Amino acid sequence: MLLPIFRTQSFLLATLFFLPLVFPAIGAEPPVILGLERELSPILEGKLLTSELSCSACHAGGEPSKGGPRLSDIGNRIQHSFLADFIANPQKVKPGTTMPQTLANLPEKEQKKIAQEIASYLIKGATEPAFTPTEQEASERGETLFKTVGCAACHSPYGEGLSDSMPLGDLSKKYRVKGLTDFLKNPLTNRPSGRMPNLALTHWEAQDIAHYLLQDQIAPQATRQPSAAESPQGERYFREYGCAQCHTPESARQDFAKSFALLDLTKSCTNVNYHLSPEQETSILAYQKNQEPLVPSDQIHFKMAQLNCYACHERNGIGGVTPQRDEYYTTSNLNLGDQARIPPSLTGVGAKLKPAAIQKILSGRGSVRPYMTTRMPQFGSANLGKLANWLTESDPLPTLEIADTPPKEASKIGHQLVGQDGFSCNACHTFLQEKTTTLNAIDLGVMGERLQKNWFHAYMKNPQIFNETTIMPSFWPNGVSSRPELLDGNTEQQLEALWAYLLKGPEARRPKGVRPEPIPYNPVDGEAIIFRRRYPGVGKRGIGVGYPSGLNLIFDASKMSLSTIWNGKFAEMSPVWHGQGSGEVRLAGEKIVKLPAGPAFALLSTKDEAWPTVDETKMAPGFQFLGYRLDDKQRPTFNYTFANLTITDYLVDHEKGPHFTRTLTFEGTLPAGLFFRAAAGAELTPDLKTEKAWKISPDLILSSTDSTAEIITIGDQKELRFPITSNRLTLSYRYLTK
Amino acid sequence: MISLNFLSHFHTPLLVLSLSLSGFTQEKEEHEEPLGSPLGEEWGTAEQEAKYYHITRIPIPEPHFIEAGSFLTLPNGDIAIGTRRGDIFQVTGLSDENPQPTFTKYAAGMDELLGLSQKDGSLYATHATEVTKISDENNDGRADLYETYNDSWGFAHYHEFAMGSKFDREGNIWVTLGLSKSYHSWELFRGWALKITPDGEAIPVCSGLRSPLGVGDNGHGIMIYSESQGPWNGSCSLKHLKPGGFMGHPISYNWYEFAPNMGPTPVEPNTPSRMETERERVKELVPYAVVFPYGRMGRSISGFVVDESEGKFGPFGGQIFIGDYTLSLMMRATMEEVNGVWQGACYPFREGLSTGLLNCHFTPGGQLLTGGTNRGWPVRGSQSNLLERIEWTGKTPFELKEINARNNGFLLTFTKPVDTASASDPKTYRLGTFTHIYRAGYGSPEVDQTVPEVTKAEISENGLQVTLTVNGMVKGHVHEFEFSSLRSHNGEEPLHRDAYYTLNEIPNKD
Repeated sequence: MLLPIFRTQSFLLATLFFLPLVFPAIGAEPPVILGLERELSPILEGKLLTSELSCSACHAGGEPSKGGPRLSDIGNRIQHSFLADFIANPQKVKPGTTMPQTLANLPEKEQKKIAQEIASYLIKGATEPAFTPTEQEASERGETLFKTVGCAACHSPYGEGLSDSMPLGDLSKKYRVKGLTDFLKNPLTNRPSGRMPNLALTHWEAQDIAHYLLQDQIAPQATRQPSAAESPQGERYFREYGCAQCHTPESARQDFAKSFALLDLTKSCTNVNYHLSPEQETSILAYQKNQEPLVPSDQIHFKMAQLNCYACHERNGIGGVTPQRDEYYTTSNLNLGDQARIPPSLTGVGAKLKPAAIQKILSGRGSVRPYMTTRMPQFGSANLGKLANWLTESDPLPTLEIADTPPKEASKIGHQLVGQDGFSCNACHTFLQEKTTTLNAIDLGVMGERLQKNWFHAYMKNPQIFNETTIMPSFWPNGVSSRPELLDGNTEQQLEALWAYLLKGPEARRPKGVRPEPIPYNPVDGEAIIFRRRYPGVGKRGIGVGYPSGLNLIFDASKMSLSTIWNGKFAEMSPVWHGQGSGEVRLAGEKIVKLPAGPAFALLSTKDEAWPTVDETKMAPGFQFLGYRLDDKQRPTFNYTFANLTITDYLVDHEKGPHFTRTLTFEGTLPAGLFFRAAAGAELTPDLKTEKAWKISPDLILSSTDSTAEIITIGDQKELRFPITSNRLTLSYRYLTK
Repeated sequence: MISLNFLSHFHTPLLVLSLSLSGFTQEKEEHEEPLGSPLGEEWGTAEQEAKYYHITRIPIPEPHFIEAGSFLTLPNGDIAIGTRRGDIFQVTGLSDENPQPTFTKYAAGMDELLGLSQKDGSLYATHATEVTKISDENNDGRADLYETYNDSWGFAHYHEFAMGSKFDREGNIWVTLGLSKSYHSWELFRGWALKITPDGEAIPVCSGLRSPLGVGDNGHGIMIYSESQGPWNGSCSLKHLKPGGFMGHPISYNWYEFAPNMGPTPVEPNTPSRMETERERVKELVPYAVVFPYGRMGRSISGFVVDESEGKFGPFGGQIFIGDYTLSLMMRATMEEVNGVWQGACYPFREGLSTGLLNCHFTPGGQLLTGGTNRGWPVRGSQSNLLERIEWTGKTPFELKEINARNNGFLLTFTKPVDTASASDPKTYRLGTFTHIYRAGYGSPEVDQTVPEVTKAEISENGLQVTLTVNGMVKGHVHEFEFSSLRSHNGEEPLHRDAYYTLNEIPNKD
């Protein structure tokens, strides 16, 4: 069917030269509109055809037009030779396109000439996109993306010829890598209709897909390029042949007298050829005769067909993933079954989700299934109509049996019910992305924000009614709670409590049983690592050091004391790197030896005077920490001052033993009565094998070149004290190996 | 959403009264944020904003984990990023059109790193325990010397965060110290701001801070910090760190004896009261310079930066860009000194970021780099380990660029010439005013609403400015502006349609 559209004076002038004859393209395919396969009534089919074929671009009334791509700057985006060929005969170059053949009435020779001139006009001043070779690896990554993120929901994978696919044409004749990458990154920039939606591809993902789709491109050959000299006519043709009706630059857009409603669609169509099928023609006629406003349920049905939501989502028995495309829906979480890979059914979704949640999803920011590889695309809010409202209006909420009186401290009891002493919801559902199980189902933190309360109540009582194959159990089998001890086992009250808890969303208290994932932290590449934080028994100014040989220590920078030594792995960081970080570093190794808390040095009037004590969180008076310098293995030399001395403190690990050598140096005048406390505890004993060694724990021997140290006993406390009388003290801490 | 809130302010006097009476007993212990309130509505402008300002996600290669708390541009144009996990990464290639930067760990091992500055080849990192001077003495591209530059504050609880500014114009680093468990001041100088001099000495400069996040120059050589809603803070605000000043929360009065330079301990503010009233009683009290109405303009404002990109980031040069932790969005702010007091306005800018923002920074290419964390406190943005870059597309949105107070009204400056018909109609500008209860309880509803009248709107010759004559300006109130019916000279709607000016002082004369 040809639709008569041009009736302006300038166009009449133009057509005087060419007889209005039709040269139908032989074997041309009708335009492919996937929504037509979705059980639409003939009227809705007609409505869909008029939107997708952009009838209202010329004829006022009828369904708003999809419109064509923006052509501003087109010459920098696609190959110049493609443009002229496509304008001359769109269906031949890209079978199934909705772009009509506007030059259909002209002899083929004229078609080519005029198309060439229009193309020249459009590419004026542009630079032919540069050829970039495709790379095998990028193409393979692109293939994976194409087959998983959602491209294959509408398009056929490269070279596979799947039926019911939006045609791509021969992209290698149209795009170069950069142009296609830019398009894929944000399709709506130049195709604002959103029919090709935005899949939130990063630049690198888009580039990989471009490499995949252009894998068979050939380097450019010398072909006749449109030249600027040919373009003066092009602008006129662009206007006269109606290009501007759908495309920018739109200054040349014209008003056409005849509205859609008044068109005689049974009559010959002289100027534009869409290559419609007879069924498509019939549908347009049906729609023209019946343009009644639609009820919300039909609006939804129409919109889902138009944007092809049905490719992924089933609603009321229509649409959903087809067997031939099933393999392109994948998941990183096989444990959850098909629910983890097939986009959710939208039957009743308006009663399930709050309107704001639907809106958020439609804007492409509402994904709550991180394991699902297919991405929810963004169609552009202008293209969605009032879909969110229609869904809410059209899907009735389940009736709610409200509890007589809502339970007191509902969210507190809800917290109990969610945790391991209740229904153990967190056994299967993540809590604020903290993975706890193999299932990792939808996060507990997003439910209150998304779900309708009525739906939640109804669903919880019997999840299988909503989804036959769901693995979500019912906790109230036959209406009886499996936790009768809470709220007297009252189902409604328990649901109210759960709901009150879920409403707190990300601010809810962590359910009992959620344990953060461990974060191991250990030396790599033969170098030490340092981390300053709170450690067990050490205030906030602890400095943990993991040495490459597998020894570890904590230096307390508020007391200048060596606080702890241990062997093996360094640390597990989840208590300080999860949540607010309120915990202390968890020591990951073994044979943990605690050295005395409190300041390392003291000025004493007698050698057995009581050692000063300082609160764990306070800085020891008289000391100033100065920092540390790292050696070539990143091992620190601590620097600090005390009693007008500048002290350096350097521990070196040795693989054999395993053991540390510790060297303390004192710069300045040594004051009288300066003592260093090296160890303390009931287990402290002189090592019988050598004179200058002490067993400071069952696992660790301390030895020194300085033999003046003494074990001082105060009450039941034994302390190893070194009088500091020279400017250097060397110590060795050695683990017993047997 | 925003406009609905706007209207709802004007008919809640009964509710306000009851809340203000019960306010004193509402103080919550041990919760860092009040529980139970949903994250709130979005502005709903993200899709429009994207036409002018793109958000690009920066890929972070394994195994690095970047919870950015501070940024710095290094002399070679690389960016240094200080993280919550205590690392400093040197990042190359952040300004590239399609960034795939390389991350090199320059330094490590610190504790909640929330401030970075540099001098003479060394970095100065402010973290929970101290300000550390970090140097690479052997020039192998990695730090090997960590020197304690200053650590003269108490630190006994993980929630006692410390934020550090860049060097100010006199070479000082300003450190703001959050309260103990965000309610108490159990350790030395918790709730104070310290100025660390070029010699590394600490001088206490301000008391009364609560939960600071972000400290720096406001673009006029004045140091400010961002404060969170909570006790004695009805809403979030930018505050002027006026030396000797009291920032509003009296729990930290106990350290005045350790700060003789600060003079005697100020008078205790009354509760519940109003800032405007207590300013008269407590002479050290510095009124909150720019109030960010809770929920509408963020819920937990954080690090900020002044746009010094010389036009690379669009028409807002010299203004403050400030992130929000909870709502994952960026706002703008402007400040001016009126009758010797700093005040100004905040404006919506860009929503739709994907992590809780802790800080932001301009790259040498004039792109606004944002980063943060999403653990521990409620956040709209769902991602951890995330850096995002906001960049100007080159298209200028039609926006209210700046509000300035005038003796009898306000001067509004726009990014594009305004349409004469709508801009000259006083009815185009809907004004409302309100303030908060100044009290010991947690936060405050908006109270004492009034509706001033715009009697005249005069357009400047170039069409970029409109002078409003206003009958009923209220000293001490936030003045909110709604102008959705305004159009630019070529018919554009404003990208955002509201802004909030905190009128501590009415100019004595223009």
